[in-house]
Amino acid sequence: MKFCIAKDYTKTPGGRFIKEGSFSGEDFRKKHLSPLYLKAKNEEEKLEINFDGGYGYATSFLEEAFGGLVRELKDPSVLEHLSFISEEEPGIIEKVIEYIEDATKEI
Amino acid sequence: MHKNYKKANKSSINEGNYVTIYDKVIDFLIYQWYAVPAAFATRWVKKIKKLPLDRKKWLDERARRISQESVPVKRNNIKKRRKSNKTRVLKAPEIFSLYENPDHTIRYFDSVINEATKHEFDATIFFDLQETKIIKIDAIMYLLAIIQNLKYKTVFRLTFAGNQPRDSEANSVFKESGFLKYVNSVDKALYKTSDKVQIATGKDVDALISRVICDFAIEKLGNDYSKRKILHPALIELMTNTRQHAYDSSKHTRMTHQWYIYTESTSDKVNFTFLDTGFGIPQTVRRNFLEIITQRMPIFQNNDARLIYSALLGEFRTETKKRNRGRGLPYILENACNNQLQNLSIISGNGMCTFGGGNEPELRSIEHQFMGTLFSWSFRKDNLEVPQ
Repeated sequence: MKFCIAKDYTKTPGGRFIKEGSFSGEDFRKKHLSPLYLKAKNEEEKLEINFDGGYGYATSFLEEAFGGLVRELKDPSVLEHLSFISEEEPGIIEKVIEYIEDATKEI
Repeated sequence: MHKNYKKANKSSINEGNYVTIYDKVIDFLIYQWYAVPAAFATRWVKKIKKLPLDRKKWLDERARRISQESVPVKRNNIKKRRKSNKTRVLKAPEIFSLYENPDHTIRYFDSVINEATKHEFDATIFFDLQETKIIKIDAIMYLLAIIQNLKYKTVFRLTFAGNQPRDSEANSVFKESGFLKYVNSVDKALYKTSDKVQIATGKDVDALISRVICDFAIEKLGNDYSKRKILHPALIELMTNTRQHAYDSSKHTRMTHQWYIYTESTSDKVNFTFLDTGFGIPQTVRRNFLEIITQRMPIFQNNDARLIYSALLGEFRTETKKRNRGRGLPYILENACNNQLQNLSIISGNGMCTFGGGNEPELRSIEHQFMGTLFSWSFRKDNLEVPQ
């Protein structure tokens, strides 16, 4: 299962919460990431998230989307069902993994 | 009497309800509302018919004068008199810039806010910029923020007025900033140039404004698309910080919550300025007991500047006390140290923090407290490394 944020959601991701403005991390998680993740997990597939093609990602967006996914589902196996592609900014993958791991420690 | 009125009265009596005179008056006003002006009109027509011809002419003439001249002139006179009595002329410093002349400029803004918060009705604050020789965008933005955000403005019906700098260079900076599109000005022509994105403002995180600024910057930087991957997240982080931390709803503020951004392209770089008029970083970060005590002590120099730097380092300063928060400012610092965001400079509270290319910033103390946070940085056009 594949999802390209720039193509399927927005090229200009916003901040952390829905109340703070459009295209937020919380909005992305609730509308796309969380349902797709659950679907992929049920079908025992990996959800491939592609970060390329956009204007870049704020840390608050990434943390709320991916760290928030762990907190929302209280699922420590999130990393097992996700894979990432970011050729334009390889550093993003490290950050996302760090956010997921940090959130996993807290649950 | 009106039928409905009769009916209503009758029914209420039949049902045995207690009807007071007050109720009757209210009923009469509701059902007979048209009867009162009609009665007056009938009386007036009868009176006019009885008047001699000269008297009629005199009345007509008087009515014409009242309707055409007297009333508006009187009101204007009252307004003018009020304004002239309560106009405060505040002369701006010759170098009107928060970075180049922080103490005088902040003192000027303090005096503006002090005048505005004197709780005086219908006062006018006049910004005298005529003698200003150098004016920078940061000062123009803060001036605009005061005009737009000051809560006292509507409550006390304050009026802000002003003039433009005489100096031709300063005048063009002032006009091209886009300041005039936010105020009522005779000089309404929009001085748009292709080298500037005029002052934009917002309350929430606005990805679309960020996109406009990124597209402008990328075009000026020769379509270097890698820059937008740094710029867009940086703008979003600053907007998010303003939305989350700069304005604490539980504390009393004199300004409403808003941010301002301005971008311009010069011969060798693209400059960005971001401003909010909130409490400022030193006031909103978490401080330990010693820092709170020593913050306002003059012997402990650069305290606010150190707090700004500490927040940039991400030393768990976030007010939310959540481990997953407070990553926005470290992102800005990371890019400033990588020389991606060049000449990063931050003013907030009594501190100024400037990055000249190296990892260590220059920390400086400002005499007068700056209410808000001002960020500025630039992208070099030739993509050359800034000498260390």
